[in-house]
Amino acid sequence: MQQPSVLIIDDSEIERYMLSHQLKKIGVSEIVQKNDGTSGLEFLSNYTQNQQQYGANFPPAIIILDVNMPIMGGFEFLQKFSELKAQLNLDICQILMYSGSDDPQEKVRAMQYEFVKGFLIKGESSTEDLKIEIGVL
Amino acid sequence: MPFHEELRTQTLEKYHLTDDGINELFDDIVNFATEGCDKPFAMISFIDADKSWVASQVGRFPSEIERKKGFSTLTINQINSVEISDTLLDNRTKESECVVKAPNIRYYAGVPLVNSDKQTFGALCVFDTKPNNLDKQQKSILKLLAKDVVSQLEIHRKDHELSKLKNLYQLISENNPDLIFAKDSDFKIQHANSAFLSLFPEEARNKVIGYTTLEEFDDDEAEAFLAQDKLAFEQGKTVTTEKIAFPNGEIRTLFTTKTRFEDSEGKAYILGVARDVTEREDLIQRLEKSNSDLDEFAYIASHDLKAPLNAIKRLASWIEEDAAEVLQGESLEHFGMIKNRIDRMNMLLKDLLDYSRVGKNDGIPQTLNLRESANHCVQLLDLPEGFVIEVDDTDLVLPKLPLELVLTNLMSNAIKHHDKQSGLIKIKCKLLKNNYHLTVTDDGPGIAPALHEKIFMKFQTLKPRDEVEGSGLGLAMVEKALTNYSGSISIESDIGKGATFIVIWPKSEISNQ
Repeated sequence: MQQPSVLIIDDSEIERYMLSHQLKKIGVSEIVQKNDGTSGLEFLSNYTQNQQQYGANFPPAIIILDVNMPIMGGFEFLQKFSELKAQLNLDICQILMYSGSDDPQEKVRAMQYEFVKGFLIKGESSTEDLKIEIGVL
Repeated sequence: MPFHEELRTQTLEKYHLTDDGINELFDDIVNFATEGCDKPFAMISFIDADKSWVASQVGRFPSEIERKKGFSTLTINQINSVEISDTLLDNRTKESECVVKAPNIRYYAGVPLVNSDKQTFGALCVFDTKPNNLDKQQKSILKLLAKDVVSQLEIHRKDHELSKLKNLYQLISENNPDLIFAKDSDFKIQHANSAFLSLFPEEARNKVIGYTTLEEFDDDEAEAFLAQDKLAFEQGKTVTTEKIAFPNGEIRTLFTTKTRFEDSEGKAYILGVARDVTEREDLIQRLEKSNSDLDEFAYIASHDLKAPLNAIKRLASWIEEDAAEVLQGESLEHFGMIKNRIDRMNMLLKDLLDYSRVGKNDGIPQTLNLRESANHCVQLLDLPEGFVIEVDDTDLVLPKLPLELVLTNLMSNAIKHHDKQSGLIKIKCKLLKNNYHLTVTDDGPGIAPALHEKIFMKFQTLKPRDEVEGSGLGLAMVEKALTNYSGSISIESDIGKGATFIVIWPKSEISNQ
């Protein structure tokens, strides 16, 4: 089975590094990193060009999305993403929230979007957890 | 005796008979007495414990007649009128000074002045220098005039009391730091005390009473006053806290009560009492701001410190895994130490975060069973075998989260610091009139009294971190939670005697929500 491609949107370099590291460990090699919601959205909007560049790996099957980011945070991204979905074929994209907070309200709010499939808490999710989440998707 | 000396003295004081101008009050009456009774002399005299004196007279008498020899004492010692047709034939008077010497009085008639307490305190008398009498009509006139004297005195006394009250009221009103004013139904100011007037520039102060003064304020402020005034007239009372720019340039925050009242003619007014709460409101606002800043800081600091710490932890564990074969001896120990410190810091950050959250989203008071609440906390505590917890089966009305925070921390301390393999923790609750009196008692090693104060301080632990894990925030958190409800915590303990923590928690009402 082909491993899914992943887009990581997180403003912290170390978090992106560690996530990539974990993803590679479970066999995901197609990884694109963006450091805030705006650039993440831009990447998705640039549909035709990216499709040519990445082929079947675009659009990404999984977007791992940080909640707390400068400029455009995770929740604003979710809103913009749902708007973008109406214009472009992004049905394949499923989102995994990746939050530094264990606030249950945040989880409830994120899970209201049907394309949000999971809610991981930074520092508490092991490589194994990640594998399970991605495997389920 | 129809009179009592002390009472009479009080009577005279009561009527303020020593006031200037009091005699003029009675001149018309004595004049009329001479005419109506057709006698050449008349006088009104008063008497107190020491002396009698003349308040008003027609004809010449010594201005102060010594009491014992005084003529009017004849009447003053009576409750009824006295008439002596010929003073030389009467034993009571034949040797009196004014009979044997000038003006050689031969006739006397007196009516006592009797107040509502039936005390005689003076007399209205007429005299003649020849033997005489009063006919029936003249007697009536004299009695009527005596009554008039008493009425005049009553009015005089009431005037006195009124002006005394008025002076006192004025003193209070002028010295009151609150702004006091009264407006009529046309919203014109009818009364204002100095505190109120001082908010107008000096040259405008004579245009306050009798004016609405609304033109002195900004339009929207004036409108707001009018709306409040109208509401007070309609509803009888309004209470507002408002920020107002006054004509003298000051901006003050006032807590104002406007109350409708009616005068004796049924005309409606509003009484305004405004307290200057500028400083208080300002302080409250600044305090709220600095409190929320502090909480926010604690939250952000602990939150932002957590992320890099977690990264360090993860990276360290990866190195440990990857280098499992190479790491040996000291290096392995060092890795253990790193991980241990990371865990400790994580706990500290978690407690800091919890501490900053104490008091937020506490929820409303609800009926809780103490035993059930304690059991719920125990489940999260990892109670070691050998430990028993006994809890009173009492219902309390308290917010759930803070109660569990208090119970969890106190029980966890009792277990954590226990020096034996087994122990007993007792949680009791007494219902006092206004408070819950909760105690958590353990049979652990106890705490020396010298350290009792220290244990409630932030980051204080009584044992080295390596022996007992703890951030030192537990009791500080308990105290913070209780302070939010005006409660308190104290300790009774000594070395070897266990410890009892006493929580006083004011009772709360079940909220309707």
